[in-house]
Amino acid sequence: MDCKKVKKELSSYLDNEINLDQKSKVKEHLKKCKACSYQLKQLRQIQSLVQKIPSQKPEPGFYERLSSRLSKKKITLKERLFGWGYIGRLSPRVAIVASIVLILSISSLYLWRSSSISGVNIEVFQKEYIYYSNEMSSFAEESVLPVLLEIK
Amino acid sequence: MHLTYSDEQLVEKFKAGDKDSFRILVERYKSRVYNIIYGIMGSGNEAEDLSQEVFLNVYRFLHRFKEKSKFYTWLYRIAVNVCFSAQKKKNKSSNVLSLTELSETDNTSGKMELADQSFSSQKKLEDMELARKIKSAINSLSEVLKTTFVLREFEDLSYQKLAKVFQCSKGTIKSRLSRAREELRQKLKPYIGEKNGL
Amino acid sequence: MFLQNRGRIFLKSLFMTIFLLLGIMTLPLLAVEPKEILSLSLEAQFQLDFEGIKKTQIYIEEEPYTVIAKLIYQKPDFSYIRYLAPSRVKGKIILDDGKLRIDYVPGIDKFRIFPSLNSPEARKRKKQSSNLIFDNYTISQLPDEYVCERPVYVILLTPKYTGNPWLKIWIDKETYLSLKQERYASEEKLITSSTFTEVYFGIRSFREELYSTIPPRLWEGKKLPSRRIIRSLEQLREEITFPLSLPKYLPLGYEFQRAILFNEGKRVDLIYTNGLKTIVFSQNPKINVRMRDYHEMSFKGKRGRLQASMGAWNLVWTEKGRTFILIADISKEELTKIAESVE
Repeated sequence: MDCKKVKKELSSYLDNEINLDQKSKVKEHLKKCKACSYQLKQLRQIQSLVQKIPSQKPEPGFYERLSSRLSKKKITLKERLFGWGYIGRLSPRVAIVASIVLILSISSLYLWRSSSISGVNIEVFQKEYIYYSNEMSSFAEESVLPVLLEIK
Repeated sequence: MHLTYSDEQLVEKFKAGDKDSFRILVERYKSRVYNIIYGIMGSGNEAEDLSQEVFLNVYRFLHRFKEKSKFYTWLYRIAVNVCFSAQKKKNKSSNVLSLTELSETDNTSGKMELADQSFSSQKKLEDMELARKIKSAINSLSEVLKTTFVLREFEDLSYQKLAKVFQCSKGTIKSRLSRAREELRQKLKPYIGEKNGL
Repeated sequence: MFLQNRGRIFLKSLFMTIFLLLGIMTLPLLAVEPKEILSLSLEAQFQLDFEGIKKTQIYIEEEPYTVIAKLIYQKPDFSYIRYLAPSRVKGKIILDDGKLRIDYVPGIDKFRIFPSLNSPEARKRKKQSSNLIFDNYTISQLPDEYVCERPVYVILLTPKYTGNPWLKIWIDKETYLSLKQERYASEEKLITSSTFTEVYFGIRSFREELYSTIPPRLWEGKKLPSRRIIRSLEQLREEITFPLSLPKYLPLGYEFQRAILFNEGKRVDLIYTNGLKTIVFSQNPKINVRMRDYHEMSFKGKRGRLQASMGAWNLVWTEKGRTFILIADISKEELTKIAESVE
């Protein structure tokens, strides 16, 4: 795969929304190509930064405010019967395509799963160790143990 | 979920006449909806208004919700549409597309967040600057790219689910996210790099 | 008259002495045994509605490493941890509602489900292993102090066997909740120090709110990975289709607790504990275990990979078509002894 193609796939590679074949090709390319690896790294950094944006919450009393608006608004019979059409009546063609996509994605998930059993990250065992430590060890630092893995 | 009722069970109960189920759904999703809308629209006032509008629509149309999709996919679709309508109205009324940054205060409810105590104040200032730059970059994306990006990054939705929410193909989602990320990368290139040790 | 006075004084002092003696005799009945204080503190969080900010300092290298987390306990079996610092783990959430324990890091693919540690069964199991503490440690009480302006008992745990930490625990007198803890490698060397900096007794956050901090799409179709718990080695031998490998040597104080079967009996984890620390010995069909920053290590003719991962050694080796993983927080010598003794 050449850089141009790989760059197009980096986003779906990042999201792991890429088929196995493409995925391995991208992986191979990344091993050899510094430029593309760097670009992926940048995408990862951006993602990590976005994840850190603090989440916003509404002011307390949201439901109360909503409630009073509901009682004020008169929901007409017409609105109830003929609302906006985004309830999504799927046309038969779309339904068939959607179900094919679903079947394909489920089967590819099974394939992906079975191909990754042969190589396992030590972290799988480490996480179990942490779980058991919490379970068995009294006065285990409950809040610290799960974090020990991330600290390196 | 190990809450008392699942979303779908609550919808059933609501259809059967239990009004409290609606309240529980609102309590469950109000923060997520608010957070998404805030991320898309950029301001607290709008987020409050539009979030309320989302749930008004939920109330209006819940009886027509069919369990073919998950409740939250349907909910997010409403949220997305509410945002799109709001943005259309905004564009009509103003000639200049505002690229201003989001409001300065990183204000969360205050309860959950705590200043990161392990950083020096210098680093804190740098972090705040960076956060501002990121929000500004996201805000400068086109409506469609921004909405798709926000929903993906804030809610971890699969391309499949996103396609349902936006009523388009997976390929469209893929290309939107790719374009959004590339635009962000170009804008943020000078600020991210080796030394930022993430 | 002089004699009368003396008589009165004598009677007075006699009565006072009797009172004092009676008082001293009843004092032990009123005082709570340190052992009991410890036992009560293990269950304290389940009797409470509580919110607090906990700050833990870990002293391993030059600079202490600080972890800050918000802890919420709600009766009878709900707990919620949200990490606030350092930034690497900020936002990480652990939610346990008595049925499932969810470990979630905002970001992709960082979502794991475990059986709840707050369930009655899990708590019973923990209680069993906590009895080992009383065998492996000497328990003493130090003078009372104050933490977060609350009066606390101070209990000191001194290990009977080398290689185990000293523990000093400050336990709230009213609720028996552990408010502060210090862990020492030896009498002088502090490893970790953990204390609540803010405490609030009561409910401030509602469960719906807390659940909503985890994206709903992650709940979908998530089931507990299948695992079976086996309590005795005999029963274990009956269940598995391959000959069981066991370490013959264990450091002093450690006992077998249970075995966990995964992957339809192909993977077996043996769990040992001394009440305070845990050793995990996992055996699998031959697999490729990916590790970073490891050292090659030879023991008794076998070759393995050794890795230090903050607080514990990970040792991985493959022999006769089976892969073994040993994880323990003990000295390297002890670890090698265990690995060498595996049959």
